[in-house]
Amino acid sequence: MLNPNRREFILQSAGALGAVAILPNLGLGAYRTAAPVSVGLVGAGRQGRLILAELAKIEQVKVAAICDTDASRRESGSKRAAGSEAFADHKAMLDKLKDLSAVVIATPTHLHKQIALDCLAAGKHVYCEAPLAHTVEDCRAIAAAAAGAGKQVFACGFEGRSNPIYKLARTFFRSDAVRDFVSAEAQSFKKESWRFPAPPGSDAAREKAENWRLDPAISTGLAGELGAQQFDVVHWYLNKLPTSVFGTGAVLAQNDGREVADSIHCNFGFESNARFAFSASVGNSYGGRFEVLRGTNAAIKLAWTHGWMFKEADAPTQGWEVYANRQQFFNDEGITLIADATKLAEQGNLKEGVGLPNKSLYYALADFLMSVTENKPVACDAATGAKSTIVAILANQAVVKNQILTIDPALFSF
Amino acid sequence: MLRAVGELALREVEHWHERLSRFRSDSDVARLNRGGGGRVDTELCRLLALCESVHQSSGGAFDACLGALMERLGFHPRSNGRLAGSAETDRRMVVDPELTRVTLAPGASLDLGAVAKGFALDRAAEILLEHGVGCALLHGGTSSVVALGAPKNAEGWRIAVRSEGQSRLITLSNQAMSVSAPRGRTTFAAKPSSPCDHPFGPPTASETEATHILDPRTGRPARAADTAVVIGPLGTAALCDAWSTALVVLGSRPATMPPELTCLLHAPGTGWCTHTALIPHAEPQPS
Repeated sequence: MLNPNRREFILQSAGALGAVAILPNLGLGAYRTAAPVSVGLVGAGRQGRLILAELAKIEQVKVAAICDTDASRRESGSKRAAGSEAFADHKAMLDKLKDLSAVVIATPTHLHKQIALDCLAAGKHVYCEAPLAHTVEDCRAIAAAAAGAGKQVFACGFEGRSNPIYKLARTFFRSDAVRDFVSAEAQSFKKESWRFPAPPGSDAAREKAENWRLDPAISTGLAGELGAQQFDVVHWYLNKLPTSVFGTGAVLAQNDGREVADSIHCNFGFESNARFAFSASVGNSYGGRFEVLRGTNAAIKLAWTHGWMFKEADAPTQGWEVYANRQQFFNDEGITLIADATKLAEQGNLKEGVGLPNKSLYYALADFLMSVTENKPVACDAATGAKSTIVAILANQAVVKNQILTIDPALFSF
Repeated sequence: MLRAVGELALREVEHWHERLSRFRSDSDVARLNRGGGGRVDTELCRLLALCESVHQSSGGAFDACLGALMERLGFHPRSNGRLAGSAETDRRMVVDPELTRVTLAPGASLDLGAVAKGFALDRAAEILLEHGVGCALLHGGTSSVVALGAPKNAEGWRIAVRSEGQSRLITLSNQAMSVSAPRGRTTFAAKPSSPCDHPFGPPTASETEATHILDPRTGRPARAADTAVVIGPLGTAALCDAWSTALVVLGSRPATMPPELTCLLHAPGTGWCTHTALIPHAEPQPS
């Protein structure tokens, strides 16, 4: 049971579509940091490129350094961030660019820890991509270093916590609108090999490094690399961490000699007997990536750029529902969750608000920069990020062992 | 590993679809249209600068800022068929490559539909080449093509282009090609309910039949050519896209068109006509 906070809900949803009025800037106009920020990016691969595109939208942010051990990635990253300096090693970057205020870490997961620790030791604010690390020990080390870093901001890139639609939906979830929690499920399906090519002429070691996700020694598997973001959403909504996880998986679609499962199922147990089921596969794309959280009054479906609420027939009608935008899903009708809906409704543009105006990543980076320049609370701090990452690491272990693991709460004490 | 390289190239196309689509709320184009411009990264800045360059050298026959007009005419899923707004053709944008910033004048609205496919294919081809794939045909769906190398025992990839029942066979090797024609798309919305709904006067019967390329200088449907084909070297698919659109408006090759591009035009009654520049490049094969 969720302990619905009626007062919180009434305050936030009083009147037509009032819930959305409390949301932060949606990015309908460009976000401008309170002060100029000089940023270094460590890891200029696929995620690094997405980060550069989002940082480019934010006023007063200057990407001053691109750091990557690979020369071609370094070069393309530098081209994308005009005027930036390229480094092959993050320590050289920290030594030379003393006025760098923040570092964004987007390297492979197993390389996060040392870079994060070095950046914190050099006095930098840090945004580290999720999952935070590939071992419980590394998670704990990062959380400890961040806790001892004084006024420096450390943000973990669990994006749901910054996503305006997810924030809006959470106010509904933690209220009578959804009421008592029944179950949750999530999936991440996309047909792809999950293999990445190394440049021509690369040796086996380089190819292995490029495909670190398929290396069982360092990979957190589908549970970590795809599931962790979604696990964190469920933890955040429930305000709870699981006490057990069952996992199973196999190579079903990409039978190329890999050892890391390409299709997995996980089932998480919580103290209250609540359950959360997760499936992921790179063998099929149907349905893509979403989370569903069910309560006795309604279910909420979240798909990162969109969100809907599906009400039960016996659920009380809220005043704002008459204004709501609706969408038909076979036999069910979903109320579209629209951030900033009050303003849009006043303008007669409610339908224009369907779907986020920016990617989730934009909001996570903007939240980080607000914490750096305006002292806003961190959306997902190191300890919170470490907890969800530890759950993902244990889920991957359960998949590998095909068994139920009991999760020791002591793992979450830092 | 070939599959992984192919996936990387397709992911690149997906990446640019997400960023350049006018219909996704979280795309860069939607963001710039909402905000009247804004900061962009160097890659998008490069594409917008290319659009501006073709706009200038085509004498305004190509324009990436016709989004609002296209929407008013019904080429948007949310169009309601009512043609609101002023009768003026949409205004322009300013691209500042130094500050990587674009500013849209009031009323201007980006629609990169004419060049997005070519741009995505250019980027995807770069990825294939970087990973040692030198033989491939990338087809963006009836309008944009990039040909890497040639199939075994062939001079190149053979592509047939049809216009008004007349085919032209074109052989491509390490080249990009774009085809534009003022047909093949219809509006999402119903016909305007009254003449005053249309800012440029009611369309003629032939215009309602074929309207999706507009003459930016007049706002009226363009069909100076039935089909325009532009062929250029590798890395120019977006440039070819922009010029093939401009040639449907112009009907003939202007002197300002880059010399590395070759074009073929099909006009009513005249059939196919090849236009090379002073420096011929990749003469297409006769049919």
